[in-house]
Amino acid sequence: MASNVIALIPHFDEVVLTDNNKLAARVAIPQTGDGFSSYMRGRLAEDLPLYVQRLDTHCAVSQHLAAVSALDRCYGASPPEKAVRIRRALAYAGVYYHHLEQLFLSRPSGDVGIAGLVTTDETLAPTDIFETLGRARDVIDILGGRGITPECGIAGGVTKGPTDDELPRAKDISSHLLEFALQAEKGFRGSGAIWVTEHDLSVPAYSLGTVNDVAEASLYDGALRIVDPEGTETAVGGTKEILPILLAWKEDLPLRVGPLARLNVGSGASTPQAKALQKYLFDALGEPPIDRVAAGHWAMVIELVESAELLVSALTTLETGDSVINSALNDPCEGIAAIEGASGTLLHHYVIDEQGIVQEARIVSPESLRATEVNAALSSAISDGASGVTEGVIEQIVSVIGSYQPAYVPSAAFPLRITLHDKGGKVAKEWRRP
Amino acid sequence: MSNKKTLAFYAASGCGGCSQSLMLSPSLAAMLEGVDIAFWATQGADLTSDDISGFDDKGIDVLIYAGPLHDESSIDTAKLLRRKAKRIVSYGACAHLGGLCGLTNVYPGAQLRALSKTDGEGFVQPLSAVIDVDYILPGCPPPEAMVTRMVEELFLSDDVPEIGTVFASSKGVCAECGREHVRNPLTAIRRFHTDPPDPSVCLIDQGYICLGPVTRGGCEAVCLRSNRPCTGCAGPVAGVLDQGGAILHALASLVSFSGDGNEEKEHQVLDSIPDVVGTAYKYSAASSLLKKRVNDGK
Repeated sequence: MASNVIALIPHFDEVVLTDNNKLAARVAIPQTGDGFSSYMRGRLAEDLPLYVQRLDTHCAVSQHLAAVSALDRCYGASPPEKAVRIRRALAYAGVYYHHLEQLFLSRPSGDVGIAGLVTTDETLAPTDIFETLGRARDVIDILGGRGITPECGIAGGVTKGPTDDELPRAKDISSHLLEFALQAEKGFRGSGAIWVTEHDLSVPAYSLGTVNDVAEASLYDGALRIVDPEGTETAVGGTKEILPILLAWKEDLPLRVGPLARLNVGSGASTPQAKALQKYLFDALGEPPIDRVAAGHWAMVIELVESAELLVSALTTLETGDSVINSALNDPCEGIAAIEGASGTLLHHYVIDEQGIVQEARIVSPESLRATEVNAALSSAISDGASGVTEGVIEQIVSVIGSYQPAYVPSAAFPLRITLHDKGGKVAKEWRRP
Repeated sequence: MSNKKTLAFYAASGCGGCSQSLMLSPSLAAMLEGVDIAFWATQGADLTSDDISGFDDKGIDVLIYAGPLHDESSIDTAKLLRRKAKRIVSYGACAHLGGLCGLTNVYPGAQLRALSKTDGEGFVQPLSAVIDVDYILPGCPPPEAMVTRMVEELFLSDDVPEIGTVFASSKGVCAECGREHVRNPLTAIRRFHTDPPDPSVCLIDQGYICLGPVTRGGCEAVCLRSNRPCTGCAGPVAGVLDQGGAILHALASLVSFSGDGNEEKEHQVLDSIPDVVGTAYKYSAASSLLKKRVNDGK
């Protein structure tokens, strides 16, 4: 089974354009399955949360928590409720941090500049953005033990709880984060929403996300759900039910994950203010399922508010204290876990031997799942091959990739190559972003 | 003409943590006020070798370089950047030590090439293996206190830091830890996930492997505050060449059983250290004396 699981080091990739009378393009995602597993084989199981979050620190909290959940399953661990609440609060802080960074600081590509759009609201100064991002990092530091790359996750619990000094500070910060998110959403609606409605590239796609007990979008855990482009449920369940479907997913079937997919798979946002704000999106673009690519930015802004509301609420349930661990662990074995990561559904699959040493470590990341949708978007956008490979074609490709950029996390950190092939298959041109 | 310093930030590749740590520094705003940005490679405009070549030699006052070197292209770029910059800061564990990517050096070539972060030959090197480095800011990612110190000394002070300055403590993490020493002999290696430690007592004294004694401080022992051991991301303390060798030597010196004829027991304890390379050389494999695994033909 292990060898069939898609694995990905989220290293953004290559766009290949083939000049074959009709132009076509695709995002190439490495899915050998062996690279990361080879790297991790022989490493300590308890170090997995440390390694995986450094694959991509923009999503560090999500990766960390997915690793911890998978280790829980490997060891048959039952974390105390107190630890579960800390992890959940940390997850919401991680989503907030990720979204804020992606919306405001990710490098815009092509004509996409969400940061510029939002900051047309003069009340949001760049210094406010940096300060707020720093505060979100502080909450991760308090809950996770270290900002940017948390340390607290362990099979069976967390190694750290907030102290008497830290918890009130986290609550204060979370109120600020919510206030800032509401301000950002208001600013976005004033300008960014117009931009979204003007960018009409649509990709009908299946959507994958996580829903809570009442079928609302979840930003951490719950049931995995897939709906078709019309919004009809095609699958629901845990990793046992959903993973085989994802492994057998056909490349030509667009699959959407991330903020817009989360709106599509359930009955919408789970918190009062986010519920109210999503109505503006629905008024502009219609009820879900929404297939407008640029709407992903808008959904992310709504989730900025939702994650802050969830964080505020989650912090009220926390208690102070040291580590919270149920160390009654079984002998390690195989474990698979899924969490709803900031940029989309994230699955980790580990095989641990009896000495607690990693034998297999595979990740199904949002980036690998999303590739099918990006490819469909590229096919829609690039259809005219009459002029061959031109600067205009490159701009089209960059623009499509840019449309996904806020949710396409590793593209901000890793090189992007666009390789243009002529009809004979030779490389005609290469464009590279460091 | 501006008399501000010219600053450039270049990330060879990596996870993005270094860029975030710099952008989130409370001293960032003060730093930016005093500099002109030449380029910010992960967040700024597209940057090619031609773009870099367009700068005058030594035309960039300070270049902050993050990420590991892993192929000819990254080595060439590093050399080009060296020509263009008066001062270069090796920023973060990957540039400083090779970082977690350095562990790929212990795999045979075929497996290396399967790792998407290490294309080409896949031999990871720290920046200092290829060019002269003026300053080092350690950490994975660098902690806030160290970033602030770098900004203050490099950009907000009238004095220029001495070449070779490491913006961290010269002492070990232990100096900042605050846990009680009970001086127990090491008679067994414990794993913290199956056997949680006492949060008030030195981890090594309890039998856990912690790289605090051999790792540069300046991080305020952040991992230990979370009841996790130091994993060595800031690299070896001043005067230590091989971080992994130093911790293994330290552990060996602590293994002790009372009475005679216990050499076998002592060997058993040392042999029980799991994942020696991943534990002792987690971030420093590429800069260690081990260098890389040689294919032994088996």
